[in-house]
Amino acid sequence: MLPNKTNQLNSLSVNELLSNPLFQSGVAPSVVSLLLGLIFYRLAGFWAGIAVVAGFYATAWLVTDLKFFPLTSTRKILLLGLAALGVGLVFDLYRSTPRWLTYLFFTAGFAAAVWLVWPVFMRNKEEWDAWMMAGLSGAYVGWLLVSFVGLRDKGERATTGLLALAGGTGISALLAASALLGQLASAIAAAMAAYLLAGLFSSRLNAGGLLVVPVALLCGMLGVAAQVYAKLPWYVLLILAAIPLVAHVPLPEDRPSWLKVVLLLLCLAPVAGGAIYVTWSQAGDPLF
Amino acid sequence: MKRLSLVAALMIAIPTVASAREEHFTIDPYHTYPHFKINHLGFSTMQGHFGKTSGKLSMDQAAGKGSVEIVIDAASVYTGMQKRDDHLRSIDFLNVMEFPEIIYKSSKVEFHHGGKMATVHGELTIKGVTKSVALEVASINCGIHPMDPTKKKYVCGFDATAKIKRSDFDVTYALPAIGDEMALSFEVEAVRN
Repeated sequence: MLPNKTNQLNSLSVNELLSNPLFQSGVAPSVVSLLLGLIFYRLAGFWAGIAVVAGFYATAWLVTDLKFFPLTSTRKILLLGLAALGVGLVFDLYRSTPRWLTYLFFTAGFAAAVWLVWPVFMRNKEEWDAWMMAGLSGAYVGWLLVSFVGLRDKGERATTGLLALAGGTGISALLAASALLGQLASAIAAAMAAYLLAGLFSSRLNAGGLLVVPVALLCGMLGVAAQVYAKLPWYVLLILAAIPLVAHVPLPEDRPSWLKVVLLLLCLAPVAGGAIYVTWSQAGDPLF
Repeated sequence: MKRLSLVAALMIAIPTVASAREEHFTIDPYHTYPHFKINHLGFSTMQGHFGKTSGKLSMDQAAGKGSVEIVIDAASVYTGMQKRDDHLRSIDFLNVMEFPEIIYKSSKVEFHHGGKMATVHGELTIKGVTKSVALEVASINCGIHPMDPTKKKYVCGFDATAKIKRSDFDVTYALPAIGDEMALSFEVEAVRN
């Protein structure tokens, strides 16, 4: 009887751990991203960006069971994230970024966001608010995708920018009445932070299409979902959209990587913090 | 003699025809509320209801037939706290922007206890997921509304209960901390058309 009881207690504590939001969105994505980041940096740096996406999907598996059907807005985000990983891989094989490809990325991001909000748009399409909502959502995701694709060869700028974007989106979404979206975006932030550490430990901080395409798309889609399907004020997306611009801040390029990361984080934190503050001033403290 | 037989036949037939008549009702939204109870973090049982409901029903108790169709405005969820209601409306739970309606459609009604009780078999759709749910109707009371000055308003009232698992309807956020099983109860009044 005693061993059975011990097994039951063990399984209970494992279940409690797996259903703890801090473990789901903090520990799990960080550990997965850090381990994969260190392995890929040592063996095949080209693939390192996958570490962050893997960390995110570890959380998605814990929080949503990672089912894709019936298709809901959350599942659309998860599906598009995987599709974007494939696009990022092809993009990395194709080294240059001609102008037409930039337009293509913007259009793809725009279309992805419109697909996400399609049920709401179709129900209200006679009202101009619905067109504004779809247009703003599309422009936001398209802009994030294009601007981070432009940073793919600048490891420090891309990774810190995506960290700030994910952190700002995650905490804002949490305050805006969606713990689910908040957890998913926070998982990206945790995975990005671990990936940054893995890169700094390995003395090479890669970004690449495998990182920037899926992560920028996921952050953008989660922000749009928090605005349309929860209560994130639309103008918070405008603040978050400034993050890739701030990531272009002039830096002493001859300085070590860790110093550039610290300087970038000092510049980016007020923007992400501003988005969080504005959301908090509207929504107040979270319920949870 | 022939005329007498005809009258007798009519007298027998008229009540039969009358009892076989199906009556149609419209849900009274001011006296129809779906309520729910759910375990909150293992501490207490949280209760709430939906404030906006519409629908129709029909009954033919003699023939043992009936139908119910109820549409609940998912955004009308109310638990007494604005912030919690916003959270319940969000993508975490009911996702009302994407799935604005909760719908119950009956497939079969079985009356028992002389038409005073019933079991309603049907399909409940929440968040686009449809599952079979049986409603146990514990009381059916019909009559002229006592406050209607015309004395023509015929009303039927129903008290029904059901149990569902929210995970069956893809409402899985915060499981198992927030309970899976939900107890539903319906107070329904409907006015004959």
